[in-house]
Amino acid sequence: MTYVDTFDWRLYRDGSRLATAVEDGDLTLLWRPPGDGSFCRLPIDRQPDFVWDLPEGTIRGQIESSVEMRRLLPVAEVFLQGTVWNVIDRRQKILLTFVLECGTAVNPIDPERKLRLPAALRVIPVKGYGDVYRKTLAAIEREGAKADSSCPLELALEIFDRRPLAEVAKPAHDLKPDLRGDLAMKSVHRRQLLAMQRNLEGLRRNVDTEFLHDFRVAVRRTRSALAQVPEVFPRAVTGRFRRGFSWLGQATGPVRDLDVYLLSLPRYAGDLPEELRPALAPIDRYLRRQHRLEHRRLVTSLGTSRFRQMIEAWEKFLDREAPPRTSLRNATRPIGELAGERIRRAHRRVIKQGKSIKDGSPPQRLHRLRIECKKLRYLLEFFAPLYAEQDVRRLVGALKKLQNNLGDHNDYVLQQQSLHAIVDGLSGSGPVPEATRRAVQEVLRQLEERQRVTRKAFQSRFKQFSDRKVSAVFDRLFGEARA
Amino acid sequence: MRVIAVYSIKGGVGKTSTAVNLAYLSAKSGARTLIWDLDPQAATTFYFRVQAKVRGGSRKLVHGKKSLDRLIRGTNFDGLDLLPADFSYRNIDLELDAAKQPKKRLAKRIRPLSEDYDHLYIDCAPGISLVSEGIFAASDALLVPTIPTTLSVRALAQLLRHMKKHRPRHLRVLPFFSMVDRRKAMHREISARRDGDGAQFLESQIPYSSQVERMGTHRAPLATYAAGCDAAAAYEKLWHEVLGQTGSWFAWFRQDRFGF
Repeated sequence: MTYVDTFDWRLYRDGSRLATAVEDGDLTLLWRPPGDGSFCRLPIDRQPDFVWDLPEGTIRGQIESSVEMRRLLPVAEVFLQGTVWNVIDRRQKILLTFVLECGTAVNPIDPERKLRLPAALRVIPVKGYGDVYRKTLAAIEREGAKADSSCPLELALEIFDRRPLAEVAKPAHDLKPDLRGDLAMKSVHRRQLLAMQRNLEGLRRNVDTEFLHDFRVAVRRTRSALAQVPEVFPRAVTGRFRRGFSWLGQATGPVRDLDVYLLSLPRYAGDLPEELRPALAPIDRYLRRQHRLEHRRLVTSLGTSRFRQMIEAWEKFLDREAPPRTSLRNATRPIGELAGERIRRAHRRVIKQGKSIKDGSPPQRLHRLRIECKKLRYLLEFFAPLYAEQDVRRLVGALKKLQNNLGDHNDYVLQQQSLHAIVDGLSGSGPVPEATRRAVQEVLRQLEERQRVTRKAFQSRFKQFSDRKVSAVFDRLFGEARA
Repeated sequence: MRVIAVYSIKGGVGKTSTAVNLAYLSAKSGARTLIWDLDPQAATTFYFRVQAKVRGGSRKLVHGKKSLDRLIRGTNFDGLDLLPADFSYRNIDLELDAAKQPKKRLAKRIRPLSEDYDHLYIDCAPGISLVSEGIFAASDALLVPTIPTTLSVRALAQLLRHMKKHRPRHLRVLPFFSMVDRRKAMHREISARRDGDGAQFLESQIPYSSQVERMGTHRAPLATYAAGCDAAAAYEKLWHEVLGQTGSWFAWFRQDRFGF
């Protein structure tokens, strides 16, 4: 059987297991809920790549919220053979099962590597017969033996030396309020650079959209930090890297856009009447073709010396010691003071722009506000260690709600525009089937409706964010008095 | 968790075999399934080879504070658990009568199980009583096996009349023909009508079959020992139909709002 999980081990972290296996000639999905010993089984017709490839039902419903749009990757393959003994009562009711299991594990990253798993004696309890289970375990222990409770996945991961949880751990981010501004910002930037470097390989291999997404977030944060906290690095440095990262943002844009369309297509399809759903297939094919093309282009860009040199130079700059004396206004200011000032400014801008948006304002105004919110959010996150966790969480939470509204609105607007562009692109390579046009019309209608609903909700969301209570927390944390 | 009660005012109509077979099919499809034997005759419990004894009996069942979870027994089948019956369940009515809000009591006892199970099938005792009212309140659908005979159809009509006034809003009543004997003219005649007397029968019909009766000797769901027989295929069809009617939220919504 092949265990699958997302690249960041979401199922493993939940304590559940998902696998596919061929049982009696049929492809079967196996799912073990968190903390429970036995697998639920479901016949499937193909190996799932995403959660929406699974048939609708219990298993999908249970894992959907944690897996989301992440790709399901094979994490380990095990071939198991077992002998089963059931302990039964006089009614032939099974009270307990023994399984003597042996097998081999294959490393999915390097299929040539096969290792024999140690033989395991498993004692599988039956619900409601806990006393039989406990007595059996005690009897086995008296004999000096031990029942095996490890799962084959854990054994396989152990022998291949893969540590699921370590791969998602984040480095500690330590900022003190009296740290010099330039040093503090270097620490902020170093984290972003690390995030880029970590996601680079996955992005190149295109195993999951999340690598590119995280990479782009780190790029955006870097750009935002360079622009939002000025006068900490020499102007030439700031200018050079602002240009460099802006280029990187643009280079990664098309693939990300296509990722978003491909991820949202099944959702659109789900909202269509059943007979129209297949009509979206040409769009899907077209997007995939474009995606392959753009991804190749992106990998080429990431292989250029321009990219390599820029990252190397940036890394070198971040590692360089700060000059003891400088004419830069913010370089030697304590970060506690600087952070408060920048956040205050960003907050003010959000409030000002938000207030100026009326019911009839064009979507571009909301988009601009969305960008301002992002800037504020990044600042709050960069400097979170300087403030009480609870306060920052509250502010970020309030901001997030507003951002979700603005983000959704922007998505609906953009997706309508891009659907038109996609249909245009599609018609360039041949006539577009009538059913596809109709399906697109229907999707457009739904997007417009959703846009209308989110737009309507904007005022109340903004009101919540600009509420006196939230503003009071901003004032208390970043207010004049503190600076 | 979808709660599907297999219920009929009349006895001997195939409630237990329906509940057992549908629950088995549900578990086989990957849904975490529980079957609750509320009939003091304990036939379902017998089929699953479990002792028909429940600690605390009907009193603890109704008034108990502890979760029903500790009374659940795993069956010999993956993903299918059983809440066994007890002979004292003949007194549940009396216990419910003494409880506060007796009609809501069973629903309240079931609620904590919804985390662990996707489907709950209830095998009910025949008759109409406070227990049945409690089951109506706790269930999403009421599957009513009906033999195509005058008495059985009359019992269904009785139930539907009762439902006209007392049906909880969320409850759907799904009658279907059971133990249909095609050799009998009356069975053929009655089962040919899918509506009438205010009833809308499901399309699936379970034929009369000696294989179903043999469940008592095999003490197992039909599909485990006679998967190829007509009755097994009919249960499979019935299960799909019930799932179609109760499976997705949309189906429920549609039914509730638009009645089709």
